[in-house]
Amino acid sequence: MVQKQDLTKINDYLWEIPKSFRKDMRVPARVYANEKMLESVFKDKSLEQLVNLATLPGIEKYSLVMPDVHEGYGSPIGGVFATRISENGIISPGAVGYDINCGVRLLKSNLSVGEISSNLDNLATEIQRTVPSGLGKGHLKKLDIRELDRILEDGAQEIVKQGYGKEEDIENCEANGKLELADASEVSDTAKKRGRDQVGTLGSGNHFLEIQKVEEILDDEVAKTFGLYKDQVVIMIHTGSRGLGHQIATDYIRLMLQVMPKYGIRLPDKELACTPFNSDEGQRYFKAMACGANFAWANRQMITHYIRNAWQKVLGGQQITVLYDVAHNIAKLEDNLVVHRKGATRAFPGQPVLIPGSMGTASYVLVGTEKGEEAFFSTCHGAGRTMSRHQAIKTLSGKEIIKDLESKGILIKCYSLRGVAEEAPKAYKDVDEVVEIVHRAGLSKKVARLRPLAVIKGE
Amino acid sequence: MKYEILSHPAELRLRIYGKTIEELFINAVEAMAQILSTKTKNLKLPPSPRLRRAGKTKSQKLKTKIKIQSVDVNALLVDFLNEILAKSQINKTVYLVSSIKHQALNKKEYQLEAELTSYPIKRFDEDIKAVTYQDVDIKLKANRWQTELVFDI
Repeated sequence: MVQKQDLTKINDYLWEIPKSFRKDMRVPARVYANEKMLESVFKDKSLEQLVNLATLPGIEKYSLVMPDVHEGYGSPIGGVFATRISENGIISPGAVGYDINCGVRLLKSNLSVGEISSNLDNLATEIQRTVPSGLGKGHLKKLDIRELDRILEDGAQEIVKQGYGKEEDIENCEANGKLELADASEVSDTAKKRGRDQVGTLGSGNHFLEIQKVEEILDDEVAKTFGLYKDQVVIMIHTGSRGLGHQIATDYIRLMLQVMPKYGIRLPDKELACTPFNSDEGQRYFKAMACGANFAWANRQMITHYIRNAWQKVLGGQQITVLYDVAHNIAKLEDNLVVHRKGATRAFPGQPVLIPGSMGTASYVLVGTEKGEEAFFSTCHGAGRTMSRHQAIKTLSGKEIIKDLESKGILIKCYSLRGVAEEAPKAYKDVDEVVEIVHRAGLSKKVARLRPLAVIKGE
Repeated sequence: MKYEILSHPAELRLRIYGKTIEELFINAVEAMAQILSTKTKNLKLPPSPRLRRAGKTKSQKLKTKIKIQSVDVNALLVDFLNEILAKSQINKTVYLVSSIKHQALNKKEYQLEAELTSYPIKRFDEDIKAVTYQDVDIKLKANRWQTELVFDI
C-alpha cells in the first residue's frame, strides 16, 4: 500500500515514488497532482498500479499518472510510460486498454450560439436520431469482411475515400486517421464480427456527443490559430473502437499471457501481460492495435458525416470543419520509444489537445508544449471518476440530474435514466482543477473553455 | 449467495462464490448474463418447458459447446467468460451453463469443456467491454470457493 510519506515532492504539481519503494521497480513512478488531489489518489489502487508499471522491462525514465488518475486494471487510468525498443522494451495490450483509440474529435461550426439557439433542441434530436448510440447498438447494415478489412487498414482515410468526409478532415486528425502498420490479418474473426455493424456508432457508458459553445478564450493567439472564437458553436465526439477494439485487446492479452514465460517476463499483475516490442507476438499486437485505432478514427469520421447531415437538415449549410481528433488509449512509436497512453492524451508542441469534461460540465481545448517532453508529450484526458457507476445508480437520480442540468440551460438526450445517473457530474473529479494542474505543470496550456448546450449520450 | 457487487471507481467489481470450482464458474457466467440483461434473472436452468420443447427440435440454436485451454485456473475463468462475452455480443444472446468439466492437463495447461444454453435478448442492459484478469484469485475460504472479478464497462 502506497502512503503519502512514500512520495517525494518535486514541485507543487509533481510527486515521485522512488525506485527503492519496491524491489521490483526498474524506475521511479511519478504523479501529477496538487496536494488536494493527491489525497483522493490514495483512496483506490491507482498508485499500486502505477508502481506495477515501473516494473515493466525496458521502461524509460519513470512511469507516470496524470491528475485525472483513477484505478483501472493493469495500468491505472491516466497512466503513461515508454519502453526502449533497443533494450527489449515491451509492448502491453493491457496498458493500452480494451477501448483502443478511445478518443475525442472536435468539430467547429461557423455559427454563434445566438444563431442556433431556437433550433438547438431540433439539432440535438436529429443528431440523436441519426447516430446509433447505446448498448450493443449497431447499424442494420453489416459490412462484409473485405469492406471491414479496408477500414481496419486505412482508417478514416477509407471513409473519406468513400465520400463521407473531406480531405482536410484527415489532415486535422492524429496520424492522419491511419496508422500505416495496420494489418487486418492479425485481427481475429471474432473481433471483426463484433465490429461489422459498429462503424458510425457511439456506444454507451461515458461516450457522448455534445453541442457546445466556446465560453471563454484563454489564449487569444493560439485560439486564433485554431479558428476558435467566443460563443462559437462546436461539437465534441467522444467514442472509440467499440467491440472490435475490445476483442483485439482480449485476444492479445490472452496470447501474451501464454507466451510470456518464453521471454522470461514475470509481472506483478496478469493484466499487464506483455512481450518484447520486437517479438513476433509484440509486432502482431502492434499491427492489430493499429487496426483497432484505425477503426476508431473511421468511426469518428462516419459520425462526423452523420452530424454534418443533421446540421444541414436542421440549419442548412455544411460549414462544419474538424479542429482535431486525438486518441487517449493507444501505444505509439515515438522517437524510438513505445509510448503507452491509457486515459492520457498525446500533446505534441503546438498540437490541439481536447479534454472532455463530465456530462454537463466544461470541456477544454489546450495546446501541447515543449515542456511536455518530460511526460513523453502527454497530458490528462478528462475529469476522472471518483464514484463507481454502481454507486452512482444507487445514490443519484437520473431525473434529478436532467432537471438540474436543464435549469442550467443544458439539454440532455439519453434513452436511459440509468445512463444519466452513471455519468452524473458528481461521479467525477472537477475537470477545471484537473486542467489547472496540467496547465501549471506546463504539460499543455489552456486555450479555450467550452460549455455544453446539449448532451447526446449512449445508454 | 452466488455473487455480490463490490465497489470500484469506474469498472464493475464482483465477488463470485461456489461450493465447487465448477459451481463458481457457473455462477460467474450467470452473474455476467444478469448484468448484460437483467431479464436473465427470470431464467432458470434447466431451460423452461417451452425452451426445452424448442430445444428438442432446434437444439443447435439453443445449445452450444465451448472448449478452452489456459495457463492456470484463474486465467481459465477469465478466458471462459471472455469467450462467452464475445458470443453474447455477436449473437445478441446471453448464455447460462448447462454442464461443465474442468481439469489440469499439466502444471501449465488447464482445460475446460462446457455446454451452454443460449437465450436471445432484444437489448443489453450493460455493455461489458471485457472481463479482466485484475484481482482474479480463486481460493477456498470458509468452505466456499471465491474470487473477485473486474468487468471493464
